Amino acid sequence: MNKCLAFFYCCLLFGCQKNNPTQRLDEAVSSHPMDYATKFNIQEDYLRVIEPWPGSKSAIEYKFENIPQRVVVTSTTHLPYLELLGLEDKLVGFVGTPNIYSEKINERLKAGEIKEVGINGKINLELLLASQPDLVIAFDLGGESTTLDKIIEAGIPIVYNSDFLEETALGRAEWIKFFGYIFDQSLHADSIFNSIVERYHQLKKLTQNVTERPSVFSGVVYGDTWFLPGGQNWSAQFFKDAGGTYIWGDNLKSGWLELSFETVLDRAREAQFWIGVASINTRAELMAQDARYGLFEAYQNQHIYNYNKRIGKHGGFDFFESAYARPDLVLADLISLLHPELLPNHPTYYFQKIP
Amino acid sequence: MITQYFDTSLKKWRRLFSGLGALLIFLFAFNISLGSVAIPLSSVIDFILLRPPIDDSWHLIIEKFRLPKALTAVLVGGGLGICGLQMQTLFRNPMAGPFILGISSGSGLGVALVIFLGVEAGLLFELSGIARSWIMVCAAALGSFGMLLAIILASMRLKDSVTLLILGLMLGAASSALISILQYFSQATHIQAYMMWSFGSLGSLSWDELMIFSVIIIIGMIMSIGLSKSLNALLLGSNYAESMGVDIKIIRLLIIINTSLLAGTITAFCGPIAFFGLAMPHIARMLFNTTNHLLLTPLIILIGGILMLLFDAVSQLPGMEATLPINAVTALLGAPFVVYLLLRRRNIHYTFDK
Repeated sequence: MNKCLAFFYCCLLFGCQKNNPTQRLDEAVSSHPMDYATKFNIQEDYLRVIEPWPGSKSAIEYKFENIPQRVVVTSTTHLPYLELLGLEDKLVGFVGTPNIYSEKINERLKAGEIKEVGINGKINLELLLASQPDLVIAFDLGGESTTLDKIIEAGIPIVYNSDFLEETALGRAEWIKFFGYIFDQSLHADSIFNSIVERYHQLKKLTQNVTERPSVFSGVVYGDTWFLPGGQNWSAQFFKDAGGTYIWGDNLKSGWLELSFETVLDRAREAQFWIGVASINTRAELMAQDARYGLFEAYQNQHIYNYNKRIGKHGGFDFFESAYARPDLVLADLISLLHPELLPNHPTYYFQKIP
Repeated sequence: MITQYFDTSLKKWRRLFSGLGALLIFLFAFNISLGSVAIPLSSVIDFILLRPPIDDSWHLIIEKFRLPKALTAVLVGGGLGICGLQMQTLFRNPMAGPFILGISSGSGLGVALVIFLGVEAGLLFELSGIARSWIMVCAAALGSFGMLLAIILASMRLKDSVTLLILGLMLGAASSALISILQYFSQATHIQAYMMWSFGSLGSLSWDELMIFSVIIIIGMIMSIGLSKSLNALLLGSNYAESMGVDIKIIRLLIIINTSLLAGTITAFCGPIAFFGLAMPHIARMLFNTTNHLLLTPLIILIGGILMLLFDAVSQLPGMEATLPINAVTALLGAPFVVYLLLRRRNIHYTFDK
């Protein structure tokens, strides 16, 4: 019901705006198919977000007559695309600025050129209006956000970004073209994306013929539940492309698995690598949390890694900010962990071994 | 009257207790043999008989995971049931439970402060070097015992138990409000960590933690058996109890301390396990048709343990790799059971008749 309502508002209010999104059914054939991304595409004269929020049945189409000059984005994962395109000066507001890692954007923040417009993903409407944006790039996990409706009501156009629904690493990185289109930088975005893809494939080729594919598992236990990426998850694909064997690689879920500790111990006890241990920074910390972590061979052999090499002053994780836009960097890191002989002298970018 | 009833049917009760004891032992073994990883029964028997293992990791799983979890379940089930019984009798209210005095909200606040502020500061863990799980336990314990202190101070001033109950509710509401404010200003990962804590967990206690946990809970259980006689007197009304020579103020204080010790410790180690403490006394009274606390207290220790072992076995979803949070299972399976008992007996007026 709310979704219908949101659409109704979209039609009604965007209709009065300079942007004129029209809605069509999914079957419409796109004229510029994306190489990897499946949740948006670029048509002759409009941008089409195919699944604006999880489970959305119809697409939204956006037309831009003027290039936005003052934009507010709502997720740290939107920032690297702006930065790669050199558009960080267009950013005037952000929701939850302490989470930002990017140095350039933090500098602008310090200079007061970027305003905080809410806390932890919740937009404060008054602060948003005060920052006078001409476009808000938002994401919606359920299609029921009442705040977003209010923003449309206030006359500020919103574009839904659903990059988090992409199931492949390169598909997610391709969303740079979404930002490129909005700011009329499509050619620039295409060339950046092509070089990322090229680098990714070069790296992937390195591991194509490796005979030994070390076993990998991931995650830590919360309460009684161990959260692990499903076999089709973003990170599971990286483990495979980096020449590893993800222990749950044959699993068909793209989301997360919730397993019991004993299941993980049973299957991953002899695994060689333990990559991604949340915010834990030392093996002692791991031991202090639950002594049973010591039963894993990866623990005894000191093959535990986290992605916390780049953390901002206020606790912003660069991995969660820029890694989605730079799959080539993530893959290079993982190859250097799993097969150091293939990438000698490669200093890791995101990952580090925990002592 | 009660003692007479107790004397005449001593034999019957003895039989019931040994039956329940046997059931507890059976379910304990049953619980240990079930889990996400399929371990053949023969291997479980090998473990129990201390025979050398066929598969090393199976014995490891039983020793490090299932045994401590089953022991925790027994202690938590019995402990929470007793707390519920004591609170219901003290307040002469069938809706009272172990957390009625705001104990779980208190520990929730302690844990929330550590998760939302402590982690943010980042210093607490790195400087102290104390195990993170212990910090959580201490935070929860401090929270609930802080709440307890406020209640005790109040109970020394207040004559009336109902006023105390309202005070507990108010303190609970205030700390819940503080928790929501903390949550509102926190990152998603911290909110998730707090959520996971609030789901409850029986399986996260290591043997070291279990040692301390079991000592405190067993002390609490012994203390509550000692309090049973006074509880019987309280059931008849405070005036009547006073006429029988019970010092109401002291007894009230002891009951509050006992409940807080049990409920506070359980919440600190296992998270707020809802519903169980409220339902357990009703189940025991309806099943065994007695209001005598000298019988009810040990009965609840036994069937509380039995039911918690059963619920935990269900939450493991045997044969599947996933698990359910224990907090969901207790209410999901416990509520229909209570409803069934209620419908069969049609009322619960047996306890709190004036």
